[in-house]
Amino acid sequence: MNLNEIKRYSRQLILPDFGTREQARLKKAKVAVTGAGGLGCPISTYLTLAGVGEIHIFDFDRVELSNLNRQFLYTPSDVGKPKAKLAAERLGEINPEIRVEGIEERITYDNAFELLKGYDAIVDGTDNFAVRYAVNDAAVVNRVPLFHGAALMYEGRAMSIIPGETACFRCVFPEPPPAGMIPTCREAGILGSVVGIVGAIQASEAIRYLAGLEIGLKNRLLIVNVDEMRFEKVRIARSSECTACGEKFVPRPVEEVCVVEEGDE
Amino acid sequence: METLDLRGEKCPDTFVYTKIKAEEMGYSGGGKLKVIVDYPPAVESIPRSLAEEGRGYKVLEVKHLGGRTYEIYIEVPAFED
Repeated sequence: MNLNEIKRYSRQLILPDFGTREQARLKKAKVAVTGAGGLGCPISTYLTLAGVGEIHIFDFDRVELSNLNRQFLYTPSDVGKPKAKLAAERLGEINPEIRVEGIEERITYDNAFELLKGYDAIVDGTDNFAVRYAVNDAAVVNRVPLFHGAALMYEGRAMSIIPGETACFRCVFPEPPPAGMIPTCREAGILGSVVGIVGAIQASEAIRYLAGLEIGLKNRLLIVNVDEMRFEKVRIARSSECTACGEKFVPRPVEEVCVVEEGDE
Repeated sequence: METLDLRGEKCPDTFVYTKIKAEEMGYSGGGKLKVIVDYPPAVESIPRSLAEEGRGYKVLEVKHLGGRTYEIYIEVPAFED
């Protein structure tokens, strides 16, 4: 660790259970963040600040004005520009001690297994079911820990998936919601601070895991409700019938069910 | 009757503009609103989203003008708060 790093990370180096060994583990880690949107902004920012050594941000989207109530890495003059590159550029300036790369690639069920290989963790900031299931299955098959999160309106969810050890996203949600439950326009609403909370929770789990510390969302689904400021942890379990992490892996791409077109991913 | 021409807009922006217009009308005494859309999913989602608002909006009629174009007629009540 150089002197800049010692000073930069000093406030976390003095944490109980956290020290130079843990910081070195973060620096050695290579993490994929899927999405540079509402969740991707806080996720990738906190990973950057903590000193995760190599961060790859996947996003094929461009900045829209309607992103700016929650996606704090962008400014009005960024409208129309690719998010992945912008996010990587800004985060690289925030912490020059690490490497941040923006990858302008649309994740699909066909390419996820190849794209999401060789990482120490994946932190999921995607906003649609097709990609979310693709990321889950790729993480499980490639045995990469996955930190899941999602948010809608005033509510959010998070869970941490350690392949071979804990329940995966498909164990808990074997199928996406039926087409009849397609969100209305109203449900496409989202408050910036809510994705901020969820993204920060995912990043906290990933950082602690990568540093070698215990984490609290293994086999637990955290449900956050900002209406009443309710945080609820629900026990979940692996399913032997799970097509992703059960006895035998069965590829099962999922069709996108949501009509909302403005996406974070 | 007020008219809101949303041709060229998609969800959720179709609802964003409808909601803003309806509230503007609701706070200033209510009235009738005609919304024109050419994004078919909006024909179902605008009425559904309006109902979820719990403001007492009434969808009076949906007219198919042919092709992808529809008119949605909405009665906006005067808001009490």
